[in-house]
Amino acid sequence: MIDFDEVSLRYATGPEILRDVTFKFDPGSFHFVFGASGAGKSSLLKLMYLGRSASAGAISLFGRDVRSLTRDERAQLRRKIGVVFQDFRLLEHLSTLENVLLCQEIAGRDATRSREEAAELLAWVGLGNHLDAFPQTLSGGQQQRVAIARAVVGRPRLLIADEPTGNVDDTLAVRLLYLFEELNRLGTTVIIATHNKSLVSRFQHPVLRLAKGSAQLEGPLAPTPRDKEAVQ
Amino acid sequence: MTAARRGIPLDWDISSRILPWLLAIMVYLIALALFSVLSMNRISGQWDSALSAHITVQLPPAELSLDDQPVDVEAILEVLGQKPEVASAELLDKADIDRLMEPWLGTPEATFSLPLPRLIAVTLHPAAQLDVHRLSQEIRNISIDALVVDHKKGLEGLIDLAGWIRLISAGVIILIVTSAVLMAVLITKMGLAAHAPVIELLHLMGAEDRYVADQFQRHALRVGLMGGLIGLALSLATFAIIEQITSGLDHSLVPNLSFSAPQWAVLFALPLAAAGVTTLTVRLTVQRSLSRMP
Repeated sequence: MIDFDEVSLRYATGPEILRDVTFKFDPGSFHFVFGASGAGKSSLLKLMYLGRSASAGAISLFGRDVRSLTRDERAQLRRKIGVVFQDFRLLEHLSTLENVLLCQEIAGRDATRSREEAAELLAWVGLGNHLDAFPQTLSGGQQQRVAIARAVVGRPRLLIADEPTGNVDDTLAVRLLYLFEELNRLGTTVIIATHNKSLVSRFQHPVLRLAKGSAQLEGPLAPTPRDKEAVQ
Repeated sequence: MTAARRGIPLDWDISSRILPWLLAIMVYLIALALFSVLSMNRISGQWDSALSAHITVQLPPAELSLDDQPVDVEAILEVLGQKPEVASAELLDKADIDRLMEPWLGTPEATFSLPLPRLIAVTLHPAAQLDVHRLSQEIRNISIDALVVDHKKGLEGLIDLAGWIRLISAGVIILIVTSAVLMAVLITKMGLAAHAPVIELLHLMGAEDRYVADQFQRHALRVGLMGGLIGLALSLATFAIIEQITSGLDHSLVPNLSFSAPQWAVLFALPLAAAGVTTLTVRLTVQRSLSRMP
């Protein structure tokens, strides 16, 4: 599904943000990208959702070397990826429902069905009464939930989420992680970047640990006693 | 309207406010330049057809003649009559000459004492190429004082001037269209820069370049049509005023400057042309700019 081979990234002439990163995520897997703030998590995700090109190394997505893709092929590939951005990136001139519908429309999906699914999903994340609200009238947590709904509504083959629970309370954070796990069970490959250790240890999935621009693939973090309590 | 059609909020940015008015001014200026070309065509055509088919033979009055012998008018008329290019030659009587002189010299009573020349009005066949120099020699052999006046000679400068005005008007139209294209490019680039985050997001959601270009194109078509129609309305109002002013003028001096059916068609096609040029320019600019994006 995702194959990084000695990938490096630097912005312009600045220092290397990522250095010789090599890993492979299989289709249908669930991974956390874990590291402190500034470790390069967002930069790594940008490479995964084709938001940037690597300075060096090879990236393969869905079995395709991204360097060989035409612009139209990149667009087609991006439609298979749902992204939850750290800063949400909602369009302020569109309502909550329209924001969620936008990627459905770009993909050319059936309008009526898309509308029903989007409304249903927004209701599930607790925004059923805010379908016509504009993003600037919503709280940070509500905006984040709209961003998550937008990313998952098209049932993407790959879901990439950058700190998706950063602005929501613990209860909703857990609910959202369950949603991601549900999508994963349906076949979506899920990658979640977070610096929230307790969340990572609570949900037992492999971890790609980032530190100082280098990455290391590890097994699930050992759950803390508090996590065990919560599960019970 | 669907969310996707409004994906980029182009209706709210500066191009929506400024571009229609810029295009309106451009269309208005092009309409005026076309009108000036039309006017010059009509005026020079009228001058050409009215005067180039005529020459005049002036015979000085007896008191100013250098010749002792009276002028043999009949012989001159005979020479003229033998020329195949000449359709008619007629010696004007005193009443005709008085009427011709009236705008410059006043009523016949005032000119009574002035020694006026006698005039032979010669009408040529249309498109006839008369050798005026040779005719002049032949007539001067009969009367050394006779003077052949070729009106076309005096007219050539004016017709040349009209030709230059037409050429300059065409140049002005080309400059206006070029300016409009450059402004559309500039405003489109401003729009692309202003909406760069939204365009990037659309790309990340899987939008192809043509999806983004379509939005700019639809917007440009709407704005171009709006601007073109405003410019057309302004030019129609101006032409109505010009027609009002020229309606009282003598049409032997200033021809009727109203448009013919094909010219109206060209005028009414201007908003469509403005919208077409704007749309094409915007589409190409957007596609070119997007192809350089990651």
